[in-house]
Amino acid sequence: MDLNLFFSQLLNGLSSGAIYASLALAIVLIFRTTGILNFAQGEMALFSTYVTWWLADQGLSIGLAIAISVAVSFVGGAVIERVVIRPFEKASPLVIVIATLGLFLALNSLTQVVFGTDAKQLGSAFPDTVWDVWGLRIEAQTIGILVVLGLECVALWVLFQRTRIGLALRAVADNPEASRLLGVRVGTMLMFGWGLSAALGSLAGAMVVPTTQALTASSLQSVLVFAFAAAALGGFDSPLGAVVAGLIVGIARALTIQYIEPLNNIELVVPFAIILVVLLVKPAGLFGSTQVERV
Amino acid sequence: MALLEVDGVGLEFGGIRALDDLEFTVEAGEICALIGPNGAGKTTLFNCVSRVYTPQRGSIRFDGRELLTLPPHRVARAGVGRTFQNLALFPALTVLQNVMVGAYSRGRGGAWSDALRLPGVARRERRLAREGSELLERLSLDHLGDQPASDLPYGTLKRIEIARALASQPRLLLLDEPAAGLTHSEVEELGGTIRQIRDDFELTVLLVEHHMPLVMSISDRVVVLDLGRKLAEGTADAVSQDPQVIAAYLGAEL
Repeated sequence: MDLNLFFSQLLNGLSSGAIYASLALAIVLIFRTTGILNFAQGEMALFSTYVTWWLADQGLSIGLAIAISVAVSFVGGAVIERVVIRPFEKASPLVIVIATLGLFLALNSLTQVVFGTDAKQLGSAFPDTVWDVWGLRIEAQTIGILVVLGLECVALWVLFQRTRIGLALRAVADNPEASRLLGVRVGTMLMFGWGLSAALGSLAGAMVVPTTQALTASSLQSVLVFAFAAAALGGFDSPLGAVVAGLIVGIARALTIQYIEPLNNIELVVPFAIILVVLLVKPAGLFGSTQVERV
Repeated sequence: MALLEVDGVGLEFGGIRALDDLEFTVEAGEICALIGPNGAGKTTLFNCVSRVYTPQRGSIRFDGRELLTLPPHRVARAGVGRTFQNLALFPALTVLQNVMVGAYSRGRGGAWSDALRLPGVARRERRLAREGSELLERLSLDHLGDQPASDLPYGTLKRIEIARALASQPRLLLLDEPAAGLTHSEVEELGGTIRQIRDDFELTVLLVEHHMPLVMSISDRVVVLDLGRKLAEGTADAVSQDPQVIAAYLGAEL
Protein backbone atom coordinates (compact mmCIF):
# COMPACT_ATOMS: atom_id res chain seq x y z
CA MET A 1 0.00 0.00 0.00
CA ASP A 2 1.25 3.44 -0.89
CA LEU A 3 1.58 5.17 2.47
CA ASN A 4 2.00 8.57 0.90
CA LEU A 5 -1.25 8.23 -0.96
CA PHE A 6 -2.96 7.03 2.19
CA PHE A 7 -1.77 10.01 4.23
CA SER A 8 -2.66 12.51 1.55
CA GLN A 9 -6.17 11.06 1.43
CA LEU A 10 -6.25 11.25 5.22
CA LEU A 11 -5.42 14.97 4.98
CA ASN A 12 -8.10 15.47 2.34
CA GLY A 13 -10.55 13.74 4.62
CA LEU A 14 -9.52 15.89 7.57
CA SER A 15 -9.98 19.12 5.69
CA SER A 16 -13.42 18.25 4.31
CA GLY A 17 -14.23 16.71 7.70
CA ALA A 18 -13.36 19.99 9.40
CA ILE A 19 -15.91 21.73 7.22
CA TYR A 20 -18.59 19.15 8.02
CA ALA A 21 -17.66 19.62 11.65
CA SER A 22 -18.15 23.41 11.40
CA LEU A 23 -21.61 23.04 9.98
CA ALA A 24 -22.40 20.18 12.37
CA LEU A 25 -21.41 22.51 15.23
CA ALA A 26 -23.91 25.04 13.92
CA ILE A 27 -26.63 22.35 13.86
CA VAL A 28 -25.74 21.16 17.36
CA LEU A 29 -25.70 24.71 18.68
CA ILE A 30 -29.30 25.29 17.60
CA PHE A 31 -30.39 21.86 18.75
CA ARG A 32 -28.86 22.40 22.17
CA THR A 33 -30.44 25.78 22.76
CA THR A 34 -33.81 25.18 21.14
CA GLY A 35 -34.30 21.45 20.56
CA ILE A 36 -34.85 22.18 16.87
CA LEU A 37 -33.12 20.35 14.03
CA ASN A 38 -32.52 23.15 11.60
CA PHE A 39 -32.74 21.72 8.09
CA ALA A 40 -32.14 25.19 6.67
CA GLN A 41 -28.65 25.37 8.17
CA GLY A 42 -26.98 24.61 4.85
CA GLU A 43 -29.01 27.15 2.91
CA MET A 44 -28.40 29.79 5.56
CA ALA A 45 -24.71 29.10 5.01
CA LEU A 46 -25.29 29.22 1.25
CA PHE A 47 -26.78 32.70 1.44
CA SER A 48 -23.92 33.82 3.69
CA THR A 49 -21.40 32.45 1.23
CA TYR A 50 -23.02 34.39 -1.59
CA VAL A 51 -22.77 37.51 0.59
CA THR A 52 -19.07 36.75 1.04
CA TRP A 53 -18.72 36.31 -2.72
CA TRP A 54 -20.55 39.57 -3.42
CA LEU A 55 -18.37 41.50 -0.99
CA ALA A 56 -15.23 40.00 -2.49
CA ASP A 57 -16.59 40.81 -5.95
CA GLN A 58 -16.89 44.46 -4.90
CA GLY A 59 -13.14 44.44 -4.42
CA LEU A 60 -12.85 43.69 -0.71
CA SER A 61 -10.10 41.35 0.37
CA ILE A 62 -11.39 37.86 0.94
CA GLY A 63 -10.55 37.96 4.67
CA LEU A 64 -12.50 41.17 5.18
CA ALA A 65 -15.38 39.83 3.07
CA ILE A 66 -15.60 36.75 5.29
CA ALA A 67 -15.47 38.85 8.47
CA ILE A 68 -18.29 41.12 7.29
CA SER A 69 -20.32 38.15 6.07
CA VAL A 70 -19.95 36.44 9.46
CA ALA A 71 -21.28 39.57 11.17
CA VAL A 72 -24.14 39.93 8.67
CA SER A 73 -24.98 36.24 9.10
CA PHE A 74 -25.08 36.62 12.87
CA VAL A 75 -27.68 39.35 12.53
CA GLY A 76 -29.53 37.40 9.83
CA GLY A 77 -29.66 34.27 11.99
CA ALA A 78 -31.03 36.24 14.92
CA VAL A 79 -33.67 37.82 12.68
CA ILE A 80 -34.67 34.41 11.29
CA GLU A 81 -35.19 33.11 14.84
CA ARG A 82 -37.33 36.10 15.73
CA VAL A 83 -39.38 36.27 12.53
CA VAL A 84 -39.61 32.70 11.23
CA ILE A 85 -39.12 30.40 14.21
CA ARG A 86 -40.50 32.31 17.22
CA PRO A 87 -44.10 32.32 15.95
CA PHE A 88 -43.96 28.50 16.21
CA GLU A 89 -42.58 28.59 19.74
CA LYS A 90 -45.46 26.58 21.15
CA ALA A 91 -46.08 24.43 18.09
CA SER A 92 -45.19 20.75 17.87
CA PRO A 93 -41.65 19.83 16.79
CA LEU A 94 -43.06 18.50 13.53
CA VAL A 95 -44.44 21.93 12.64
CA ILE A 96 -41.09 23.52 13.36
CA VAL A 97 -39.29 20.95 11.20
CA ILE A 98 -41.63 21.84 8.34
CA ALA A 99 -40.91 25.52 8.97
CA THR A 100 -37.17 24.93 8.68
CA LEU A 101 -37.77 22.95 5.47
CA GLY A 102 -39.75 25.89 4.16
CA LEU A 103 -36.89 28.14 5.14
CA PHE A 104 -34.55 25.81 3.24
CA LEU A 105 -36.53 26.26 0.01
CA ALA A 106 -37.10 29.96 0.55
CA LEU A 107 -33.44 30.74 1.19
CA ASN A 108 -32.33 28.65 -1.75
CA SER A 109 -34.70 30.49 -4.09
CA LEU A 110 -33.90 33.86 -2.54
CA THR A 111 -30.22 33.23 -3.16
CA GLN A 112 -30.90 32.54 -6.84
CA VAL A 113 -33.15 35.57 -7.18
CA VAL A 114 -30.70 37.93 -5.53
CA PHE A 115 -27.42 36.62 -6.89
CA GLY A 116 -28.44 34.92 -10.14
CA THR A 117 -28.14 31.29 -11.17
CA ASP A 118 -24.75 31.36 -12.89
CA ALA A 119 -21.81 29.72 -11.12
CA LYS A 120 -19.53 32.07 -9.17
CA GLN A 121 -15.88 31.78 -8.29
CA LEU A 122 -14.88 32.42 -4.71
CA GLY A 123 -11.21 32.67 -3.85
CA SER A 124 -9.70 31.00 -0.81
CA ALA A 125 -8.81 32.91 2.32
CA PHE A 126 -5.61 30.91 2.52
CA PRO A 127 -2.49 31.12 0.34
CA ASP A 128 -2.07 28.33 -2.21
CA THR A 129 1.26 27.35 -0.70
CA VAL A 130 2.05 23.67 -0.69
CA TRP A 131 4.59 22.24 1.72
CA ASP A 132 6.48 19.08 0.99
CA VAL A 133 7.01 17.04 4.15
CA TRP A 134 8.86 13.80 3.46
CA GLY A 135 7.22 13.54 0.08
CA LEU A 136 3.77 14.30 1.44
CA ARG A 137 2.06 17.33 -0.08
CA ILE A 138 0.45 19.46 2.60
CA GLU A 139 -1.62 22.38 1.39
CA ALA A 140 -1.84 25.59 3.41
CA GLN A 141 -5.56 25.42 2.66
CA THR A 142 -5.89 22.15 4.59
CA ILE A 143 -3.99 23.47 7.59
CA GLY A 144 -5.96 26.74 7.45
CA ILE A 145 -9.30 24.94 7.53
CA LEU A 146 -8.22 22.83 10.49
CA VAL A 147 -6.95 25.92 12.32
CA VAL A 148 -10.27 27.70 11.75
CA LEU A 149 -12.13 24.70 13.18
CA GLY A 150 -9.77 24.69 16.17
CA LEU A 151 -10.36 28.40 16.78
CA GLU A 152 -14.13 27.91 16.53
CA CYS A 153 -13.95 25.19 19.16
CA VAL A 154 -11.87 27.31 21.54
CA ALA A 155 -14.14 30.33 21.06
CA LEU A 156 -17.27 28.28 21.70
CA TRP A 157 -15.74 26.63 24.73
CA VAL A 158 -14.79 29.98 26.25
CA LEU A 159 -18.22 31.40 25.44
CA PHE A 160 -20.15 28.52 26.99
CA GLN A 161 -17.91 27.72 29.94
CA ARG A 162 -16.50 31.07 30.90
CA THR A 163 -19.05 33.79 30.26
CA ARG A 164 -22.29 34.83 31.83
CA ILE A 165 -24.13 34.83 28.52
CA GLY A 166 -22.85 31.30 27.83
CA LEU A 167 -24.16 30.20 31.20
CA ALA A 168 -27.52 31.73 30.37
CA LEU A 169 -27.54 29.96 26.99
CA ARG A 170 -26.93 26.63 28.69
CA ALA A 171 -29.59 27.35 31.28
CA VAL A 172 -32.09 28.14 28.52
CA ALA A 173 -31.19 24.92 26.74
CA ASP A 174 -31.72 22.98 29.95
CA ASN A 175 -34.94 24.56 31.19
CA PRO A 176 -36.32 27.63 29.40
CA GLU A 177 -39.24 28.15 31.77
CA ALA A 178 -37.10 28.18 34.90
CA SER A 179 -34.57 30.43 33.15
CA ARG A 180 -37.28 32.93 32.30
CA LEU A 181 -38.42 33.05 35.91
CA LEU A 182 -34.85 33.59 37.05
CA GLY A 183 -34.69 36.68 34.90
CA VAL A 184 -33.03 35.35 31.75
CA ARG A 185 -34.45 36.82 28.54
CA VAL A 186 -35.10 33.52 26.84
CA GLY A 187 -36.04 35.05 23.48
CA THR A 188 -32.84 37.07 23.30
CA MET A 189 -30.82 33.99 24.12
CA LEU A 190 -32.50 32.02 21.34
CA MET A 191 -31.78 34.84 18.89
CA PHE A 192 -28.19 34.83 20.06
CA GLY A 193 -27.94 31.06 19.56
CA TRP A 194 -29.34 31.26 16.03
CA GLY A 195 -27.07 34.18 15.22
CA LEU A 196 -24.03 32.29 16.42
CA SER A 197 -25.06 29.27 14.46
CA ALA A 198 -25.54 31.28 11.25
CA ALA A 199 -22.12 32.87 11.76
CA LEU A 200 -20.54 29.41 12.03
CA GLY A 201 -22.35 28.38 8.85
CA SER A 202 -21.01 31.43 7.07
CA LEU A 203 -17.46 30.42 7.98
CA ALA A 204 -18.09 26.84 6.85
CA GLY A 205 -19.40 28.07 3.49
CA ALA A 206 -16.40 30.32 2.93
CA MET A 207 -14.13 27.36 3.68
CA VAL A 208 -15.86 24.79 1.52
CA VAL A 209 -16.55 26.66 -1.70
CA PRO A 210 -12.92 27.33 -2.68
CA THR A 211 -12.28 23.55 -2.42
CA THR A 212 -15.03 22.82 -4.94
CA GLN A 213 -15.46 23.80 -8.58
CA ALA A 214 -17.67 26.84 -8.13
CA LEU A 215 -20.34 28.45 -6.01
CA THR A 216 -23.83 27.46 -7.11
CA ALA A 217 -27.18 27.24 -5.40
CA SER A 218 -26.57 23.58 -4.62
CA SER A 219 -23.03 24.03 -3.29
CA LEU A 220 -23.89 23.37 0.33
CA GLN A 221 -26.46 20.64 0.00
CA SER A 222 -24.07 17.69 0.12
CA VAL A 223 -22.15 19.46 2.90
CA LEU A 224 -25.39 19.72 4.86
CA VAL A 225 -26.05 16.01 4.42
CA PHE A 226 -22.59 15.13 5.72
CA ALA A 227 -22.90 17.66 8.54
CA PHE A 228 -26.21 16.14 9.61
CA ALA A 229 -24.60 12.73 9.45
CA ALA A 230 -21.80 14.01 11.67
CA ALA A 231 -24.23 15.55 14.14
CA ALA A 232 -26.17 12.29 14.33
CA LEU A 233 -23.02 10.26 14.74
CA GLY A 234 -21.58 12.52 17.43
CA GLY A 235 -24.86 13.05 19.23
CA PHE A 236 -27.09 16.00 18.45
CA ASP A 237 -26.44 17.62 21.81
CA SER A 238 -22.66 17.29 21.85
CA PRO A 239 -20.35 19.93 20.30
CA LEU A 240 -17.36 17.65 20.91
CA GLY A 241 -19.25 14.87 19.17
CA ALA A 242 -19.95 17.12 16.18
CA VAL A 243 -16.25 17.85 15.74
CA VAL A 244 -14.98 14.30 16.18
CA ALA A 245 -17.76 12.81 14.06
CA GLY A 246 -17.31 15.49 11.37
CA LEU A 247 -13.67 14.45 11.01
CA ILE A 248 -14.61 10.75 11.02
CA VAL A 249 -17.17 11.26 8.28
CA GLY A 250 -14.71 13.32 6.22
CA ILE A 251 -11.97 10.73 6.51
CA ALA A 252 -14.32 7.81 5.80
CA ARG A 253 -15.53 9.56 2.69
CA ALA A 254 -12.05 10.37 1.39
CA LEU A 255 -10.75 6.86 1.97
CA THR A 256 -13.81 5.34 0.32
CA ILE A 257 -13.30 7.40 -2.80
CA GLN A 258 -9.68 6.33 -2.95
CA TYR A 259 -9.85 2.67 -2.06
CA ILE A 260 -13.27 1.25 -2.77
CA GLU A 261 -13.67 1.60 -6.49
CA PRO A 262 -17.15 0.07 -6.86
CA LEU A 263 -18.48 2.74 -4.50
CA ASN A 264 -17.04 5.67 -6.44
CA ASN A 265 -19.67 8.37 -6.89
CA ILE A 266 -21.82 6.67 -4.32
CA GLU A 267 -19.24 7.15 -1.57
CA LEU A 268 -22.03 8.59 0.56
CA VAL A 269 -22.79 4.99 1.42
CA VAL A 270 -19.78 4.38 3.62
CA PRO A 271 -20.11 7.17 6.17
CA PHE A 272 -23.77 6.29 6.45
CA ALA A 273 -23.01 2.63 6.98
CA ILE A 274 -20.69 3.64 9.83
CA ILE A 275 -23.39 5.85 11.28
CA LEU A 276 -25.98 3.11 11.03
CA VAL A 277 -23.77 0.73 12.95
CA VAL A 278 -22.83 3.28 15.61
CA LEU A 279 -26.42 4.34 16.15
CA LEU A 280 -27.52 0.74 16.46
CA VAL A 281 -25.04 0.30 19.28
CA LYS A 282 -25.26 3.79 20.78
CA PRO A 283 -28.56 5.42 19.81
CA ALA A 284 -27.64 8.77 21.39
CA GLY A 285 -24.52 9.01 19.21
CA LEU A 286 -20.88 8.71 20.23
CA PHE A 287 -20.93 11.63 22.67
CA GLY A 288 -24.61 12.34 23.08
CA SER A 289 -26.25 12.21 26.47
CA THR A 290 -28.85 9.55 26.98
CA GLN A 291 -32.23 10.83 28.01
CA VAL A 292 -33.42 9.15 31.16
CA GLU A 293 -37.10 9.51 31.76
CA ARG A 294 -38.82 8.72 34.98
CA VAL A 295 -41.95 6.68 34.47
CA MET B 1 -47.36 49.61 53.44
CA ALA B 2 -47.42 45.91 52.78
CA LEU B 3 -44.61 44.51 50.62
CA LEU B 4 -46.91 42.30 48.57
CA GLU B 5 -50.54 43.22 47.95
CA VAL B 6 -52.77 40.71 46.25
CA ASP B 7 -55.86 42.66 45.38
CA GLY B 8 -59.03 41.12 43.96
CA VAL B 9 -57.19 38.60 41.83
CA GLY B 10 -59.38 36.34 39.68
CA LEU B 11 -58.21 33.70 37.23
CA GLU B 12 -60.23 31.18 35.27
CA PHE B 13 -59.02 28.27 33.20
CA GLY B 14 -61.90 27.51 30.88
CA GLY B 15 -64.79 27.07 33.28
CA ILE B 16 -62.61 26.39 36.30
CA ARG B 17 -62.34 29.27 38.70
CA ALA B 18 -58.81 28.85 40.02
CA LEU B 19 -58.62 32.15 41.88
CA ASP B 20 -61.74 33.99 42.92
CA ASP B 21 -61.41 37.58 44.04
CA LEU B 22 -58.43 36.66 46.17
CA GLU B 23 -57.20 39.31 48.52
CA PHE B 24 -54.39 39.33 51.07
CA THR B 25 -51.17 41.14 51.90
CA VAL B 26 -47.72 40.16 53.07
CA GLU B 27 -45.91 42.57 55.36
CA ALA B 28 -42.20 43.27 54.94
CA GLY B 29 -40.01 40.98 57.02
CA GLU B 30 -42.62 38.38 57.88
CA ILE B 31 -42.83 34.71 57.10
CA CYS B 32 -46.28 34.15 55.69
CA ALA B 33 -47.60 30.68 54.90
CA LEU B 34 -50.22 30.00 52.27
CA ILE B 35 -52.09 26.81 53.09
CA GLY B 36 -55.17 25.06 51.86
CA PRO B 37 -56.38 21.76 50.44
CA ASN B 38 -55.10 20.54 47.09
CA GLY B 39 -56.45 22.63 44.25
CA ALA B 40 -57.06 25.63 46.49
CA GLY B 41 -55.04 27.84 44.15
CA LYS B 42 -51.82 28.23 46.11
CA THR B 43 -49.36 27.43 43.35
CA THR B 44 -51.63 29.19 40.86
CA LEU B 45 -51.20 32.36 42.89
CA PHE B 46 -47.41 31.88 42.92
CA ASN B 47 -47.53 31.52 39.17
CA CYS B 48 -49.46 34.77 38.92
CA VAL B 49 -46.91 36.59 41.06
CA SER B 50 -44.02 35.29 38.98
CA ARG B 51 -45.98 36.04 35.78
CA VAL B 52 -46.37 32.53 34.44
CA TYR B 53 -50.11 33.18 34.44
CA THR B 54 -51.89 36.46 33.93
CA PRO B 55 -55.05 36.76 36.01
CA GLN B 56 -58.11 38.12 34.24
CA ARG B 57 -58.93 40.45 37.11
CA GLY B 58 -57.24 42.22 39.94
CA SER B 59 -53.84 43.56 40.75
CA ILE B 60 -50.67 42.24 42.39
CA ARG B 61 -48.44 44.98 43.72
CA PHE B 62 -44.91 44.52 45.00
CA ASP B 63 -43.63 47.42 47.06
CA GLY B 64 -46.37 49.53 45.54
CA ARG B 65 -45.46 48.60 41.99
CA GLU B 66 -47.81 46.66 39.72
CA LEU B 67 -46.28 43.30 38.84
CA LEU B 68 -48.89 42.21 36.32
CA THR B 69 -47.61 44.59 33.66
CA LEU B 70 -44.04 43.26 33.87
CA PRO B 71 -42.74 40.57 31.49
CA PRO B 72 -41.74 37.35 33.35
CA HIS B 73 -38.01 37.94 33.10
CA ARG B 74 -38.38 41.30 34.87
CA VAL B 75 -40.01 39.89 37.98
CA ALA B 76 -36.75 38.47 39.31
CA ARG B 77 -35.06 41.82 38.79
CA ALA B 78 -37.91 43.58 40.57
CA GLY B 79 -36.94 41.58 43.66
CA VAL B 80 -39.08 38.47 43.71
CA GLY B 81 -37.26 35.13 43.86
CA ARG B 82 -38.90 31.72 43.88
CA THR B 83 -38.40 27.98 44.14
CA PHE B 84 -40.57 25.37 42.49
CA GLN B 85 -42.83 22.61 43.68
CA ASN B 86 -41.22 20.19 41.29
CA LEU B 87 -37.58 21.10 41.26
CA ALA B 88 -36.57 23.23 38.29
CA LEU B 89 -32.80 23.09 38.51
CA PHE B 90 -30.54 22.81 35.47
CA PRO B 91 -29.23 19.23 35.62
CA ALA B 92 -26.60 19.83 32.95
CA LEU B 93 -24.97 22.61 34.97
CA THR B 94 -22.91 22.29 38.14
CA VAL B 95 -24.33 23.31 41.51
CA LEU B 96 -22.33 26.53 41.47
CA GLN B 97 -23.39 27.34 37.90
CA ASN B 98 -27.02 26.81 38.86
CA VAL B 99 -26.62 29.42 41.57
CA MET B 100 -24.83 31.75 39.16
CA VAL B 101 -27.77 31.62 36.73
CA GLY B 102 -29.85 32.80 39.67
CA ALA B 103 -27.72 35.93 39.82
CA TYR B 104 -28.32 36.57 36.14
CA SER B 105 -31.19 38.98 36.60
CA ARG B 106 -28.98 41.36 38.54
CA GLY B 107 -26.75 42.06 35.56
CA ARG B 108 -27.02 45.56 34.24
CA GLY B 109 -27.93 46.15 30.64
CA GLY B 110 -29.26 43.55 28.27
CA ALA B 111 -27.76 40.36 26.98
CA TRP B 112 -26.61 42.08 23.81
CA SER B 113 -24.51 44.72 25.51
CA ASP B 114 -23.23 42.00 27.79
CA ALA B 115 -22.07 40.01 24.78
CA LEU B 116 -20.25 43.02 23.37
CA ARG B 117 -18.54 44.22 26.56
CA LEU B 118 -15.92 41.55 26.45
CA PRO B 119 -13.11 43.05 28.55
CA GLY B 120 -15.10 43.13 31.79
CA VAL B 121 -16.52 39.67 31.29
CA ALA B 122 -13.82 37.72 33.08
CA ARG B 123 -13.87 40.03 36.09
CA ARG B 124 -17.66 39.93 36.36
CA GLU B 125 -17.55 36.20 35.96
CA ARG B 126 -15.15 35.80 38.87
CA ARG B 127 -17.28 38.05 41.05
CA LEU B 128 -20.41 36.02 40.26
CA ALA B 129 -18.59 32.79 41.02
CA ARG B 130 -17.34 34.20 44.33
CA GLU B 131 -20.80 35.36 45.34
CA GLY B 132 -22.21 31.99 44.32
CA SER B 133 -19.66 30.18 46.46
CA GLU B 134 -20.51 32.37 49.43
CA LEU B 135 -24.18 31.50 49.09
CA LEU B 136 -23.36 27.81 48.88
CA GLU B 137 -21.36 28.17 52.06
CA ARG B 138 -24.27 29.85 53.83
CA LEU B 139 -26.46 26.88 52.95
CA SER B 140 -23.76 24.31 53.78
CA LEU B 141 -23.46 23.28 50.16
CA ASP B 142 -19.96 24.55 49.46
CA HIS B 143 -18.47 21.06 49.13
CA LEU B 144 -20.82 20.37 46.19
CA GLY B 145 -20.03 23.40 44.02
CA ASP B 146 -18.40 21.54 41.15
CA GLN B 147 -20.78 18.59 41.06
CA PRO B 148 -23.48 18.38 38.41
CA ALA B 149 -26.84 19.30 39.87
CA SER B 150 -28.31 15.94 39.07
CA ASP B 151 -28.22 12.73 41.09
CA LEU B 152 -27.87 14.58 44.37
CA PRO B 153 -30.21 13.75 47.26
CA TYR B 154 -33.60 15.43 47.03
CA GLY B 155 -33.14 17.46 50.19
CA THR B 156 -29.85 18.80 48.82
CA LEU B 157 -31.45 19.77 45.53
CA LYS B 158 -34.07 21.74 47.42
CA ARG B 159 -31.36 23.66 49.27
CA ILE B 160 -29.64 24.37 45.95
CA GLU B 161 -32.87 25.81 44.64
CA ILE B 162 -33.10 28.09 47.65
CA ALA B 163 -29.49 29.18 47.11
CA ARG B 164 -30.28 29.88 43.46
CA ALA B 165 -33.30 31.97 44.39
CA LEU B 166 -31.21 33.93 46.91
CA ALA B 167 -28.58 34.68 44.27
CA SER B 168 -30.90 37.21 42.65
CA GLN B 169 -30.89 39.08 46.01
CA PRO B 170 -34.67 39.07 46.26
CA ARG B 171 -36.64 41.03 48.83
CA LEU B 172 -39.51 38.59 48.60
CA LEU B 173 -38.83 34.86 48.43
CA LEU B 174 -41.60 32.54 47.27
CA LEU B 175 -41.09 28.95 48.41
CA ASP B 176 -43.37 26.41 46.78
CA GLU B 177 -43.67 23.37 49.08
CA PRO B 178 -40.10 23.45 50.34
CA ALA B 179 -40.71 20.55 52.73
CA ALA B 180 -42.32 18.17 50.23
CA GLY B 181 -40.31 14.98 49.90
CA LEU B 182 -37.96 15.78 52.78
CA THR B 183 -37.27 13.48 55.69
CA HIS B 184 -38.35 14.41 59.21
CA SER B 185 -34.95 15.70 60.27
CA GLU B 186 -34.50 17.58 56.98
CA VAL B 187 -37.79 19.39 57.58
CA GLU B 188 -36.63 20.54 61.01
CA GLU B 189 -33.40 21.77 59.49
CA LEU B 190 -35.34 23.52 56.73
CA GLY B 191 -37.40 25.46 59.27
CA GLY B 192 -34.18 26.74 60.82
CA THR B 193 -32.75 27.59 57.40
CA ILE B 194 -35.80 29.59 56.34
CA ARG B 195 -35.72 31.64 59.55
CA GLN B 196 -31.99 32.10 59.22
CA ILE B 197 -32.07 33.39 55.67
CA ARG B 198 -35.02 35.65 56.49
CA ASP B 199 -32.92 37.28 59.23
CA ASP B 200 -29.59 37.26 57.39
CA PHE B 201 -30.86 38.56 54.08
CA GLU B 202 -33.67 40.74 55.49
CA LEU B 203 -36.16 38.84 53.42
CA THR B 204 -39.87 38.50 53.35
CA VAL B 205 -40.95 34.91 52.82
CA LEU B 206 -44.19 33.65 51.35
CA LEU B 207 -44.43 29.89 51.35
CA VAL B 208 -46.91 27.33 50.17
CA GLU B 209 -46.71 24.32 52.44
CA HIS B 210 -48.64 21.22 53.39
CA HIS B 211 -46.37 20.22 56.23
CA MET B 212 -48.35 21.64 59.16
CA PRO B 213 -45.71 21.30 61.89
CA LEU B 214 -43.34 23.36 59.74
CA VAL B 215 -46.03 25.96 59.02
CA MET B 216 -46.90 26.17 62.70
CA SER B 217 -43.30 26.54 63.81
CA ILE B 218 -42.04 29.23 61.44
CA SER B 219 -44.97 31.32 60.20
CA ASP B 220 -45.72 34.75 61.58
CA ARG B 221 -49.02 34.61 59.77
CA VAL B 222 -51.04 32.03 57.86
CA VAL B 223 -53.42 32.65 54.97
CA VAL B 224 -55.82 29.78 54.24
CA LEU B 225 -57.14 29.33 50.72
CA ASP B 226 -59.99 27.17 49.58
CA LEU B 227 -61.41 26.98 46.06
CA GLY B 228 -59.45 30.07 45.05
CA ARG B 229 -60.78 32.23 47.88
CA LYS B 230 -59.30 33.35 51.15
CA LEU B 231 -60.96 31.33 53.86
CA ALA B 232 -59.15 32.61 56.91
CA GLU B 233 -56.10 34.56 57.96
CA GLY B 234 -54.21 35.00 61.20
CA THR B 235 -51.59 33.47 63.43
CA ALA B 236 -50.92 29.77 63.03
CA ASP B 237 -52.71 29.01 66.30
CA ALA B 238 -55.80 31.05 65.53
CA VAL B 239 -56.15 29.61 62.05
CA SER B 240 -55.80 26.03 63.22
CA GLN B 241 -58.73 26.53 65.63
CA ASP B 242 -60.95 28.07 62.97
CA PRO B 243 -63.93 25.78 62.33
CA GLN B 244 -64.14 26.82 58.66
CA VAL B 245 -60.53 25.82 58.12
CA ILE B 246 -61.05 22.48 59.83
CA ALA B 247 -64.10 21.90 57.67
CA ALA B 248 -62.23 22.69 54.47
CA TYR B 249 -59.46 20.30 55.37
CA LEU B 250 -61.60 17.50 56.72
CA GLY B 251 -64.58 18.06 54.48
CA ALA B 252 -66.92 18.12 57.48
CA GLU B 253 -70.32 19.75 57.36
CA LEU B 254 -70.54 22.87 59.45
